[in-house]
Amino acid sequence: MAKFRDLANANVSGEGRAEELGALIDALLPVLVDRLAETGLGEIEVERNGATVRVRSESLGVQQAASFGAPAHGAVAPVAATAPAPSSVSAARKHAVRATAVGFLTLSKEIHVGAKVAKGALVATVEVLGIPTEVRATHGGIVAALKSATGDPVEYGQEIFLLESIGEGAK
Amino acid sequence: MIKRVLIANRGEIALRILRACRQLGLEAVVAYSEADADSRAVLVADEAVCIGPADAKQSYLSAPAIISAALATGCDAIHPGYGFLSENAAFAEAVAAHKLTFIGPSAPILEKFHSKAATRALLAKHGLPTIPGSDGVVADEAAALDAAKKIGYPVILKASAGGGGRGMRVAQDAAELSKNFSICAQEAQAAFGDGSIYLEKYLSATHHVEVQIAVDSEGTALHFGERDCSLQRRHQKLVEESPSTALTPRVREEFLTRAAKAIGAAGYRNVGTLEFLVGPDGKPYFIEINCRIQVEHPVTEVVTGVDLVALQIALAGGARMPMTQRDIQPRGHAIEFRITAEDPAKNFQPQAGEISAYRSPSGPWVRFDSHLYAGYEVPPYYDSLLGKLIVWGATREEAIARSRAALRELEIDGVATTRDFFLGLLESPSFLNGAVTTSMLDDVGTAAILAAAPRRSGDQASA
Repeated sequence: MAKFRDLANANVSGEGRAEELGALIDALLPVLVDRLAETGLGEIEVERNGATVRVRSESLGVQQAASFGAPAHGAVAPVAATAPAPSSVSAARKHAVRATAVGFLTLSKEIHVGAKVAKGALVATVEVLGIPTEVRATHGGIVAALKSATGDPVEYGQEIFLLESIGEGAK
Repeated sequence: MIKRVLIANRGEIALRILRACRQLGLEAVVAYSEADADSRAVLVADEAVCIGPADAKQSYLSAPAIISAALATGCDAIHPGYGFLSENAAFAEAVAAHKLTFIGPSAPILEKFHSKAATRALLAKHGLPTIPGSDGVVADEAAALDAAKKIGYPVILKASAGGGGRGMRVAQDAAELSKNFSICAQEAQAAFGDGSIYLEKYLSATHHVEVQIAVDSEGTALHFGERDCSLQRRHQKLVEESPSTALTPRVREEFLTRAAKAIGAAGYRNVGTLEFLVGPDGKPYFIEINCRIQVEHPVTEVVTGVDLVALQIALAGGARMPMTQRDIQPRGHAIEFRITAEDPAKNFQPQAGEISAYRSPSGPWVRFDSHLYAGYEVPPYYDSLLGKLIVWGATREEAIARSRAALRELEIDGVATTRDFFLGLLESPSFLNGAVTTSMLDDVGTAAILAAAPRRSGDQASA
């Protein structure tokens, strides 16, 4: 997991509202960095209280760009900061597909290592007292490793397989 | 024979059931929600299974998730603990349909005793005195007014499907009854899926006493003495003790014997509790039954030496009653304090957060059933019970003196708790002379009790 403290020295500038912007970044950045790593998305933008924080993942770095301008004021005070990428960011681009219920697993036929999975595809079912509960891919990618097999008992949230992000195209 | 138990509950009771299973040589699997992944029962268990997200409806209240977890982990029995699905007949039936043993009364018995109004009538037929009340459920407001006129005000409206002290409203006169009837029915419908209401004569400033019973599959029914649970706040129990200070030996003996006989004859099985209010004549009148192991069961365990959870599991497995009434000889006095994450200074507002420091009380005759540890995060999703302090003494006075010492040893930092409230309570003359009634908290006031709590020299001026 990315450690926010490493990224905390954001070079904040603005029109007398740096404190608020700093608080916003403090609150959101760790979540955003984790989310970015987890999803393999290129960029995430979040708006809160009229301020916007944008975090962009690049091959060798995480760049965060924050703009702060309450719509009511119409003013935009762009702020940018760069920081070295935490080493775990690229590794964490593998995304786990997890069991949505407790029960017995059935993997969809096309799921094997190397298979390409589209976001939203039905990848498995978990039998809960005979009733199948769907497991859908929350992201697109290539199946990197199987963690469970058809017939296995699985608990809620258990990793079924890992998806390796293939970038924008897989979305 | 039960070999492997799925524990479908959380907090201290999950740990209590786990201990009973281990003692009996049974395998146990703790079922938990995502919010309880770091709970002590999960950490202590040999096996645990995540059954769903924090929302209890999708985990501890989800019959499919729990039964599926039992099947996926190869269990042959499910212990529901208390609360959640413990008295749910449909759940017990589904458990049995999957060839698993439900540790508790079977579905038909839960169904039979589900209606409070019908249970009152049934046990009255089997010789238990009941509090004057409506003849079963009242159909509408007019019927309620009619019944109340016969009973005499004040009356209490109760949800027939209610439980856990919820779904009750007191009416002092006809106007209040008219006002409360539809509210109570709506609340009952929302909370229990059943808007049926019945009436009882309302007794204030009285003692709440209850009898722990157990019945085997052959109908052999025993009692394990009584518990006095008079100290309540909004019908929620705070302190329980045994024996009760409200019963004379003659009344007690007759009442306990009658209760065991009636419940066996009425067809109840497994462990359960019959609740009574003590009338102006000093005799207990039946109000309702709890078809589960109760929060306060340790009080009885400590005075009788009987492991009630182990007995419950054995009876569910089909065992005959392993003892006779003569074997059960309650000894001394036990008191239980419910330590909850609630702030007594703020109207007992529930708290959540990290336990930054924790020290459990110990020493002779002190038992602390708790799932806490330092660093544990109290989740905001469930009830606020943190632990139960149970203290034994040869006499009530000795039990109180030991309770003071034990409460002072208990340290829970990070969330506000009821500890200091109990320290204050143990200075209260009403509590000390045994005049603990259901209205004591209203009469004395929380603030006065808190003010009586001795300050520790080491106490910080914490918020």
